[in-house]
Amino acid sequence: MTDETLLSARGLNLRFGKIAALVNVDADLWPGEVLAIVGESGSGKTTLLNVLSGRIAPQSGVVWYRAPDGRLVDVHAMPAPALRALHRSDWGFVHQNPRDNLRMAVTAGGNVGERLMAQGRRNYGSIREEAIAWLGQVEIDASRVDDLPRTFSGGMLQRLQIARTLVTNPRLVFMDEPTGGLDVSVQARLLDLIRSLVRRLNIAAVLVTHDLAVARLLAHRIMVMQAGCVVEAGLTDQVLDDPQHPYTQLLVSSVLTA
Amino acid sequence: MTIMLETQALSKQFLLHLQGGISIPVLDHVDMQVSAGECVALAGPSGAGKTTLLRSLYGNYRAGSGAIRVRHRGEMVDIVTASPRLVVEVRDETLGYVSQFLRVVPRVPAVEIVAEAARGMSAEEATRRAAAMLTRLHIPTRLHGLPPATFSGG
Repeated sequence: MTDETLLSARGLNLRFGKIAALVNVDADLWPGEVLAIVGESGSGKTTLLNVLSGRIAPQSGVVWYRAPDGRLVDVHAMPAPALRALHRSDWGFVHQNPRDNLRMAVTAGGNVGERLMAQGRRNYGSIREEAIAWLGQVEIDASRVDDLPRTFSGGMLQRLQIARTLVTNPRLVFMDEPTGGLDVSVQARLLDLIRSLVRRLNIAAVLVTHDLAVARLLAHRIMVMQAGCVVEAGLTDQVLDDPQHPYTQLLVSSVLTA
Repeated sequence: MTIMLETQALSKQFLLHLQGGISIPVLDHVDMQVSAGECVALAGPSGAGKTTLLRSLYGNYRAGSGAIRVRHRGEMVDIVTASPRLVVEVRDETLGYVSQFLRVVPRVPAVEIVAEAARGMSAEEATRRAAAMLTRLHIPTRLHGLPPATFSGG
């Protein structure tokens, strides 16, 4: 077990006018670990994801990332091109709406291959081969490689986005409600897919979800947010089965079971 | 004999914030030891705290005070104070938990669920060992590809 974190945040604060989106938030993520951030809408969980991934700057606080060479880099002090390079290769970002990440006028295979080309790969044959292999990993038939994403269902689009994200073998993936907006029948399959891929490829992930069942299935650890504050954090099953904070107790007891 | 698991003055109470903050004491200074090769049964009437103790040992419930020491990689690790990451590691390698209710991703075949717990072997080897274990537990081969939700309780 390595003691070196992959990502560490300390003292993050961010206000949008009168609204406190992040209040003194600390977070740590170790290699190969899945961390879930849960809480109701407006609790700051997506803001935290955006700040951790360098997409939004905090008003105070720092986010450290351990680069593959072992150096710690300050995510918000990096030059923009270096941060973009990180997002293109070592990191991945899975959006709730796959259309925010996919290029709808480019074929499925092109969407996956594009991330490889952005890394400087030029051999068309091998890129196409790898794209087809990744479509297979996310259970999209190879015969669909030349189809446009608009001919895909919602669940397929989400799987295509995951293939596009993972093709560069990222070490860290940020996920914003990856199963939100999908039919429950598709959700279960996608969850199983995400779980097995993350496990097999030893990817670290920060997952934002309002669905406690998703957090339970995917995450090793969980952070519960309310009004920009982290009110409770710890082992996922311990926090969900023995919640200590009043807000977590409310959250857990509010879940409907079918 | 080698002590594998021990608790010292283990106490636990539930504080129910939504029920007017009432506090329910369940475990009161429990001391126990389990040695290698030993099987210990927790017996008592319903509500005596058997499940709470068991869940606390696994780290599923957070102990209020006291210590829970588990022999992990030859050293005693205190589950009460260990970091969440260390508890995950202890569960991966040292501690197992058989629940009355199995929580799994819906629609995933039983054999895959078992194979997923295997470490340090190829996917094929894991699947083969999982199938062998299911058969040993008298779950016939024709059911291995079905999700556990279709099984009877036993």
